[in-house]
Amino acid sequence: MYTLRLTVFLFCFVGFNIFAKEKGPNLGKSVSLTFIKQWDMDIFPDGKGLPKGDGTATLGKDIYKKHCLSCHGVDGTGDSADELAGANHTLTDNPPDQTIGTYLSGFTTLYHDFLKGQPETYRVIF
Amino acid sequence: MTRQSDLQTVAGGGLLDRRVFLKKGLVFSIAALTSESLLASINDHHLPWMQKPGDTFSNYGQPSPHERKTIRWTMANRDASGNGVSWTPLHDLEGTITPNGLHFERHHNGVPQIDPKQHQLLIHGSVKTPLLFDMDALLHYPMTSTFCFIECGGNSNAGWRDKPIQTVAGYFHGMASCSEWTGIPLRILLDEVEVKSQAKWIIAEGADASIMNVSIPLEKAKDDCILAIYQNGERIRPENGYPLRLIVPGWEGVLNVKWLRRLHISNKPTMSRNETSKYTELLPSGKARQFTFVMEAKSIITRPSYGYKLDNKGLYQISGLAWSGRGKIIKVEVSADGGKTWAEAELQEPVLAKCFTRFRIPWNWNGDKAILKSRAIDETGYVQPERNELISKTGKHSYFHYNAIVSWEVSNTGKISHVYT
Repeated sequence: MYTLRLTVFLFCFVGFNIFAKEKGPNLGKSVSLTFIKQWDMDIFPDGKGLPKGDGTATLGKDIYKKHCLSCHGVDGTGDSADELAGANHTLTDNPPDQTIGTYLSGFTTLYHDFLKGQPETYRVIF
Repeated sequence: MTRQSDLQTVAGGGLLDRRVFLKKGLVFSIAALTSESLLASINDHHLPWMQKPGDTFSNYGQPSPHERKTIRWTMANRDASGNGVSWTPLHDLEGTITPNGLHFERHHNGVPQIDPKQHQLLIHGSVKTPLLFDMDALLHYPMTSTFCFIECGGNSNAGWRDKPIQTVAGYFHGMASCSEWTGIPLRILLDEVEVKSQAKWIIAEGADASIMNVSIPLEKAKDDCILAIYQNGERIRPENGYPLRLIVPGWEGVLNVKWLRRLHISNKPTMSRNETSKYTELLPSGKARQFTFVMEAKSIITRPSYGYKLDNKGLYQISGLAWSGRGKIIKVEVSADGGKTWAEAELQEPVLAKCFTRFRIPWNWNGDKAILKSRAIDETGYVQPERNELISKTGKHSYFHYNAIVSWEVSNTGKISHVYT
């Protein structure tokens, strides 16, 4: 009985290891760094991944009007989408105001979300 | 015949021993959805479908036209119709597997119609050999299945409201669905790219028009994640990630990235919207919890629930769903007296880890007001909390991860409403 149990145990153990080490057929294609750069849109909090660029608040205002205002309201105080600015309450108030200034993502996160969408689609990312 | 001994209660409010189902001769009462009309008496010799040949074969079967009420209820941003959710009608379903057409959805910018011939998966970053896979290549890899639920981190969030929402169970808790997902264990592909030792995270990105991305600990990716190609036996449908979806069993739905196109192996998370602004929980202190991946144990009675009406006193089968992102459900307890006393429900086999578990218990309703509750206990010993317990720990502004006990009040007329107790 003991031997049988041991055999069963060993069989399961070996069987499990075979499964755990299952290999793939290596059908991936190698890619160049240029290719990866074209695909990789990740931006990290330290700014890694940010492209060179420029802009002004005035330019931003026009973009906001065109692409953001319909959901986020005239002053970013929220409409059918999240409140983005103009917090009247702190995070410990009831209700709290969770805005870009108080709670929402930092600059790199926002930039990523703007950058990656096409002009006609990025307005709905949030 | 129902013997009196079969109807000995095991808890207050008329709950019976769960094994009473196995005995013969019990007559169950009918709990009807109020919107449904009662069957008219029909002379079945003249039923039209017995008088002439039926329809011909079909290439893809559809539900009966009489079941058209069983649908996903959708809710989208009025100014951006591709941004919203649809709910699984849990109150209309039985068993544990969600039909593919009723699996809940959450999209940020609509459902992409992807040509699989043009879809590729790139794995790069902190690896020795970055690799690109097309769908033809992926279909040649060894596959396996996992039966698991996917639940949105924001499911049941109406529970945070001060007044109990009056709506059917599916439109309250139906951002949770359960499927057999079949595909390639992610670790097989991670072995091929040879992940470097300093890597800690994997950033998954979808190919939709919001190019949604999110960071997942590498340890989880190597453990039980799957690159799913099939859902319940057929190719995944567009709204659920066709042709490739990352399955992250037991963790927040948002991590199960649909239309998967890229896995960036990284030493640190990218801090995307879905791990900073969203899927973080604001606590009363003003600080927030982040990377709260696991969906804790939850249960809900689906029948009877809001929208059903009990027409008569007598015997009913209470039926519901329980699940836990930490593993198997080991016990579900049901109360019919608002939580004063509890009885153990029968768990339908198979009980699988991180998967919907169906529970049932017979209940002899005496016609008085009753409050039905269920609470799930998982294999780690975690007990689903009462609402006030949850709120005392997290406050009311967490938005995500609401998993409190749900209470349905049955009035003395058999009407069911959602209450807080």
